[in-house]
Amino acid sequence: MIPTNFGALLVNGVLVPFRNAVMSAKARKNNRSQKVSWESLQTYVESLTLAGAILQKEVDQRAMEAVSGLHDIKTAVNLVARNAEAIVRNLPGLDDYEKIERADPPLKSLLKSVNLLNSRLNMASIVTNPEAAKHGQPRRTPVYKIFHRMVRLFEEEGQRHKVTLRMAGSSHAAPWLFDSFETIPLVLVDNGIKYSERDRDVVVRIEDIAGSSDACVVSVESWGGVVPEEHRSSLFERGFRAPQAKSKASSGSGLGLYIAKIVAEANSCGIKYSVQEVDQSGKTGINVFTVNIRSLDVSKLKKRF
Amino acid sequence: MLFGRRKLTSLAKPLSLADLRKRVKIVVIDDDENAFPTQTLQDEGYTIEYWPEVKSLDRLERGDFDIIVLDIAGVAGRFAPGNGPNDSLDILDHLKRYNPAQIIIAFSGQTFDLSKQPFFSKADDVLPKPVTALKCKQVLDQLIEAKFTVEHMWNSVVAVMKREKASQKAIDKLEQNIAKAVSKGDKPDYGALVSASVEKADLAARIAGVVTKIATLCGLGI
Repeated sequence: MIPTNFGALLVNGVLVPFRNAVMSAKARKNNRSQKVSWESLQTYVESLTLAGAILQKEVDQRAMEAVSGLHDIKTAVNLVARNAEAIVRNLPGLDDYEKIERADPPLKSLLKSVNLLNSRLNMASIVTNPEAAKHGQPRRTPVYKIFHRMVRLFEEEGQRHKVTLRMAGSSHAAPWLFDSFETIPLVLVDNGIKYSERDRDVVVRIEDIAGSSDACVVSVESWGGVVPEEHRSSLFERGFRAPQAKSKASSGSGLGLYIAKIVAEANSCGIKYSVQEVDQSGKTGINVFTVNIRSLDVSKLKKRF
Repeated sequence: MLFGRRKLTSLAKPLSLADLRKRVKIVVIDDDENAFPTQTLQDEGYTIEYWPEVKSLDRLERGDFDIIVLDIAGVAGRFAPGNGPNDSLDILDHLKRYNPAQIIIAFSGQTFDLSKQPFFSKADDVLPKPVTALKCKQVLDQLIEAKFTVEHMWNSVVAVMKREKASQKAIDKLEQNIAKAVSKGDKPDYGALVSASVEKADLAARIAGVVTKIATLCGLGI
């Protein structure tokens, strides 16, 4: 922050007040001779801002080109989904749910993989088009069911990482939310597994907010390296990866929490990070991501039923 | 015998979701036949027709289909104004201008593209690709239950008539004529009934389809 009560500023970043009693008159005169005018500084800052905007546009364009390259993948995934549905259609059972419940484990696994792929591909769109988080009509969203479904989809992944996923608490809340909301459990459960220590639990805890049938709080807890205090404010920024995340998992785009934040805001939800119960080193503890969920006010949305 | 003024909404017969799924006509317009789970949903009782491109703008304008699932590009066929990248948006705009009550679902994998945002925001709902049958059912059922009610449809007829500067007297006359026919269990030519009640021929043509659907929702099974 540039104080405005001073008439001069050294470009090297050292702010020298006019009346510094410690400095000699010669030193003060010397500093004043190096002063940069307020106008020059503003031009400098404007140039930096413009350069930043140009770079950001270039980054966005490249990101969009990368995401648009997913089109062929989406077509292929669609084909897999259609074939999987055709297999399910021929299974015994009254409805899809019953048919899938009775299906062989490999088929169940295939269906889970298709669902997960679908969710991840839809998530990618939000990076280049944040408006995608508000696409479509809001729907009654049974929050417990959405998180439980994600826990089931990630079961095998959890087993591979020697991490146990479990649900805790209960909720009957079914607030009005956009379809994009499912991105939040996807990111939080995925991250929970990725950054958890082995032989630990990742717990999805959910409780209704008293006095409301459409509001609840969900927390996803995992034991692992905690995010240092100084990095926590950057956790939801695009591309950011905390040091302990980089050491735990070398791959990672730093986009998951950024996308989760966009989706949370689109759905008028709050999402935050906190730490509970650190060990003696202070570097490991329970990482907690908490989402406060309330119904969208559908009467105020431009497009509604 | 005096026929008291009756509201159309009071004549509505409650229909089950299964019944509505059968009655609601859906067209899927997409150059990729596998993009939408047509067969699965047909097996579940939905009435769905598949077009690889827009075959007849007339049928879409007439309201032959209650719900149009529209791909974002490559489907406007000979109806695309310039065969440009926005041809589906042009089709959507045209249909919405013609009949604001027409339900159109944007069906596309290009949700990542900010420049395509108008297509998504003008549609009544969005199905991003790739899509599962379960998601399609969720979206369709929500639309069917919310929009296929006598009240919603009659409100859309009134909105179109008011926009065309029809008088309240003409609106009331149409409502009474429909209510009379429905109460008697008649299955008249609703196109002729509408023409008799509405002076402007093109307006009559635009709302005749919706009026027929209202009669269906009142249990006349047309």
